Amino acid sequence: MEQADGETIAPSIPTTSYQCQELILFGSLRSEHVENLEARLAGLCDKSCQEFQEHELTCTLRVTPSATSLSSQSNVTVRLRRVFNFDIMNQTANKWHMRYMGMPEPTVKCPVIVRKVIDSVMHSVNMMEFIKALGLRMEYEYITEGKVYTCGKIKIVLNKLKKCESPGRYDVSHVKPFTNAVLVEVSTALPDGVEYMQEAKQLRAFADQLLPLVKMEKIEYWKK
Amino acid sequence: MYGHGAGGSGYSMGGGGPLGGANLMGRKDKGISVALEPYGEWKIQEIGYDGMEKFIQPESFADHVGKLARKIDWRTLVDSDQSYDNPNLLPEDELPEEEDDEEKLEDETEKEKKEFPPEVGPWHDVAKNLHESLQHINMMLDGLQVMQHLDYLKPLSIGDPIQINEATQEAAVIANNGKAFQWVWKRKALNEVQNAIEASNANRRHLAVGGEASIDETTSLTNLFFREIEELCLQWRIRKTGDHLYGALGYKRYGQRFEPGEIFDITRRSVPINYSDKDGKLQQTILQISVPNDLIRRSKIFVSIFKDDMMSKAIHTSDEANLEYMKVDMKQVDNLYWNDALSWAQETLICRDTFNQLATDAVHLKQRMSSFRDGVLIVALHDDYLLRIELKNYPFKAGDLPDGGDPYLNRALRQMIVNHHAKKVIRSQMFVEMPLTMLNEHLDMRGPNAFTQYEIDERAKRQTCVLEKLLSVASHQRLVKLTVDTLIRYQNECRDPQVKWRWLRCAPTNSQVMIHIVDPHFDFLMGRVTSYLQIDTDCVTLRTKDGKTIDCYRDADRLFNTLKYVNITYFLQAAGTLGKTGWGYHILHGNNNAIDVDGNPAPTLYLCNATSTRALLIQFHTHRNPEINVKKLSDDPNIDHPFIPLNYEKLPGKSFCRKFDNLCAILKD
Repeated sequence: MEQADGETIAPSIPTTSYQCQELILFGSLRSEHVENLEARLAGLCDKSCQEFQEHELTCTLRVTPSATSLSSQSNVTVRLRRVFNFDIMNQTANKWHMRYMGMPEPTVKCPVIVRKVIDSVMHSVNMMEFIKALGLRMEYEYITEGKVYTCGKIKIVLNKLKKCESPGRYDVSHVKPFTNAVLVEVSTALPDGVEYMQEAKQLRAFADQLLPLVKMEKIEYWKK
Repeated sequence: MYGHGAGGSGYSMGGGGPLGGANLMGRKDKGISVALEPYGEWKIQEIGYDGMEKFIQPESFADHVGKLARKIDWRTLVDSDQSYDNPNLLPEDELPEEEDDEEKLEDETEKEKKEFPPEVGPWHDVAKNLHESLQHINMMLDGLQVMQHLDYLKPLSIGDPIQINEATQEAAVIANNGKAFQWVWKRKALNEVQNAIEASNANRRHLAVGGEASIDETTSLTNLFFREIEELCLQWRIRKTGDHLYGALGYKRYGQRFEPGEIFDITRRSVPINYSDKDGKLQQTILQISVPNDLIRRSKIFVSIFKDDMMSKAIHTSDEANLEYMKVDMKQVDNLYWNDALSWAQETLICRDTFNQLATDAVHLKQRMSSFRDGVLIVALHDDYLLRIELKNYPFKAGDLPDGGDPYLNRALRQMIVNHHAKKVIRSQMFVEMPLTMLNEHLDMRGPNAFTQYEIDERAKRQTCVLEKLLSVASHQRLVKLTVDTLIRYQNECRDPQVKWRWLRCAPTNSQVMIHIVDPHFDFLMGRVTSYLQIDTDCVTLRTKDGKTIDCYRDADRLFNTLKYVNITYFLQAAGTLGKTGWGYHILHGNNNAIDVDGNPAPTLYLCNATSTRALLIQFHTHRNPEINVKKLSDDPNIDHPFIPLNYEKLPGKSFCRKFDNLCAILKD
């Protein structure tokens, strides 16, 4: 891809295709040390970070187990996100982000998690009815807030997760933090079908610069 | 086997059913002797190879009670916060009552009371400490006795004189080692003492001389160095790798921070140098920086517009003075104050990058002529005008650089470059989880926002190149200048009626001027006529009162004529309104589109007085005074009086409205 000003940028940013492959690493640190991490990120990343507050619902389409396949493999999980805002009149209230994440690729050599991701943005005033009509049932929900940093093509997200004490009520009094920890995600997205090993190494190298504040790991969370 | 059992501690008389049954049977039949034996036999622990059997002795009653007593949790009985181990720790008032709970506790405390002196009285602590000391002394005495009688605890002091005679060879080696060890430590101790004495002597000597100069000097220079490093940190990016301290001159907000070509080294001078600060005071600096050699020069970019004709100066200038910056005196450069040198080097870097970017943009430009030579870039602006961008280098010395080019365009270029680098190329989208993108921010919600393909294409346009923006701004600036000059000329040449203008909007590529035309003495009749001038990047457009637009493009004369035409339109309206409303004249015709013999616009107005005795024909010209003709009207249709032209200058009054008003008054009847 070539910009008008003559700068060339590697064809590694997904632009039009709805499906992309995501390289990601996870880490965690206690919230009292976040300031140190932010200072480190300010030194490493691009100027200015962006704050966010989002609400995620994880919905599953349960499929009755057939003779050939196990039920756990047949279930389809879809993640729904919206900008978390108490103001109903806000324009962003009815905009939703639907995301499907594929199983991570079983690569031993690759130092990061690689998975296929499908993103879609939609607008609806009655999204939950649509979800029900699709046959999806909510598994769990949480609210995440934090900051996003970018360093070129790498995205660093600091998530502070919160839970709703009673489903459907999202007042400040009903939203409590999960833990005293901050979830750190370091990721980069590539167009589908592009060779990812070089990017994965770059991501790993970047993540290693956050040591010893936070150890970014290739967590094999899909292994039960 | 039974013989062993007789030695057991007891029999279980009524315990087991079969044994009990045997006992009763024995009482009834006295003829049968029954032997009473214990049920539980001693357990065999092991049988030796010689047939010897070893038994486990069963527990006695005391053992059994002891075992059960161990299971009791004494702490729960006595409360957890109480201590039964050391009653001295307890408060005095709680002691006696708690002791009653357990016999065992009581026994222990009684024993302790026997050993220790009574707890009452002020000498309790003293007695206790004396008792402890006595115990320690006893222990030490025991130790000494053991050492005295046994060889393996004999102490070997390193300071003792060595008795070679009585020692074996091995003992001599140990002793020699001990001696060497002793020498080393003695020497070290002496060195320590020597250092302390020398330091104190040095201090005394300096005090005697009358200054703490030399010590203070080294410390103050070190402090100065660290203070300057701190100042450097506040303004520049610096980094330390190993013992190497270096910084970056880079100015870009996004992208790599420490580019190899933009790194400067930081070192410490052996001798501090003086420099004068902003207030002119002399200050010391010990920090030395070395910038890349290709940045040891001062640069400036000049942007200007000039007309490409025979009168313009040489486009590309190359004289010997321009090459003066190539002569670099490294000694002089080393003696510069670091902050000045870094600022100049960074400015040079910015200018060089900017110029390179503009030159690259010029290559990509379509349908525009551009040429580059000797650090001068020429790009066609419009018509005969060219945009000249020049990168000028100067020697790396203090002092103000000469001004040049157009100040507005110079600043505009710098602003564009800053904006260009402050823009994030890759950004995060509306939802955090979505991948980073380079697309326009408006396209985040393109699906739900129901954008059409056209809208998507329009919004997805990438940033235009800096040179194109600069050309737009320069072009607009030239048109603004042209408009202002024309308006001033128009105001100077056309005093009647009054023309006022003011800026409605001033933007880099789009401006608007509002023009008022008014006769202050007749504004109660006519009001004021307002028209607008719209200035874009390639055209000046006049929008009249009734909403018609007249394009003047980039032609000053055309704009001037258009303004004049607006002027005579005002006269036409003024004459019609004044004659009709003020004096009851009848308008026979008014032609706004009439032209004169040269083809220039010349509106005409024909009117007669209320009694129809006189007719007036007025023709308005853009470049001269209105022609006023008067004709006598007769009742007889066969008699046609000719038009008599009036001398406009000789009509009474200064303005056209005043002259026309007077004329109407004269010709009223």
